[in-house]
Amino acid sequence: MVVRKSTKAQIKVTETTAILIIFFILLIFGLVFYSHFQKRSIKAFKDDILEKQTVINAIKVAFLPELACPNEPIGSCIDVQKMNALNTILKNKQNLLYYGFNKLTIKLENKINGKSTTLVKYDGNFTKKSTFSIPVLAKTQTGKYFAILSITQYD
Amino acid sequence: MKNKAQTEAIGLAVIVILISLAIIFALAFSLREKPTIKETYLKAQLASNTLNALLKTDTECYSESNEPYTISQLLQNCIENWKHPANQINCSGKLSCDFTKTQIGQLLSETLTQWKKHYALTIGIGNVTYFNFTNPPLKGSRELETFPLSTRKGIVLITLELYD
Repeated sequence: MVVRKSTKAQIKVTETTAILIIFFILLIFGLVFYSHFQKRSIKAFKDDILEKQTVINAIKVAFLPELACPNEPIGSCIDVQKMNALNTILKNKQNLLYYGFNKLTIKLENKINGKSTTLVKYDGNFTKKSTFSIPVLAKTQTGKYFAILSITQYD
Repeated sequence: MKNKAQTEAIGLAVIVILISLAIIFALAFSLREKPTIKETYLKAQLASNTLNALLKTDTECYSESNEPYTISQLLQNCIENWKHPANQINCSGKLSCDFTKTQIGQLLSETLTQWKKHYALTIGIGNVTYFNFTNPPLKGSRELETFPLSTRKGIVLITLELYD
């Protein structure tokens, strides 16, 4: 009789232990999945911030009155001479910060003659970058050309 | 008794199937990629900026006074003299129609095609299409931009459609 009771108790203990083990395994699985999804959402959030920053800077550059062409709708044309002048001004780090061009490369590539002009160039370290390119007119001394305005934002 | 058990089992199976379907649909909707802010802004600006830059750009085709012709000037000349190639502007051996076609095709392939954008650029008057540049498939939501160009033959409509 005593032996029987002990066996029953042992079975119950084993059963409880098994349930606890399964519970903890499930809990661990849940935590692993949750942390994985959290990591993904944090990464997506960071990417989103980088992209937003790129778009904000692209709008800022395209609509800068300092770069606008006369007699052209603002945002559709960049004056290369004005861009070169602004490039000289932006060599001063304080001016660069005033314009908010931090960790940024801004380039205008003329697709007709292949020449390119750089307004700002970032040479530092980065782990991720986001590029935004849009066709614009580039006004030079010789005429107006089809060009690509590229803004690369680094994190 | 056996019948009752079977009915219960079937009911349970139906519930399990319904719940699984609901989970699959929920996952499919939540995992569907949403357009990013960059894509949204780009889509709104791309068509108008591309057409504006394309039509106003100077080319490497020069007039007798050594002034560069713009693509819209060459297009105008091409359409006005569509049936009389002898009257078309000669751009270093190429007639304005051929020159414009090559130039537009090249610029589009270096930009929109390279960026994997699907588009259709049509140049025509009414039902008559003079030029058509496409990068299929042309499906999904569409962004459209039209520029009118006046010629002696009528108003030429230059339409750029961008698809997702």
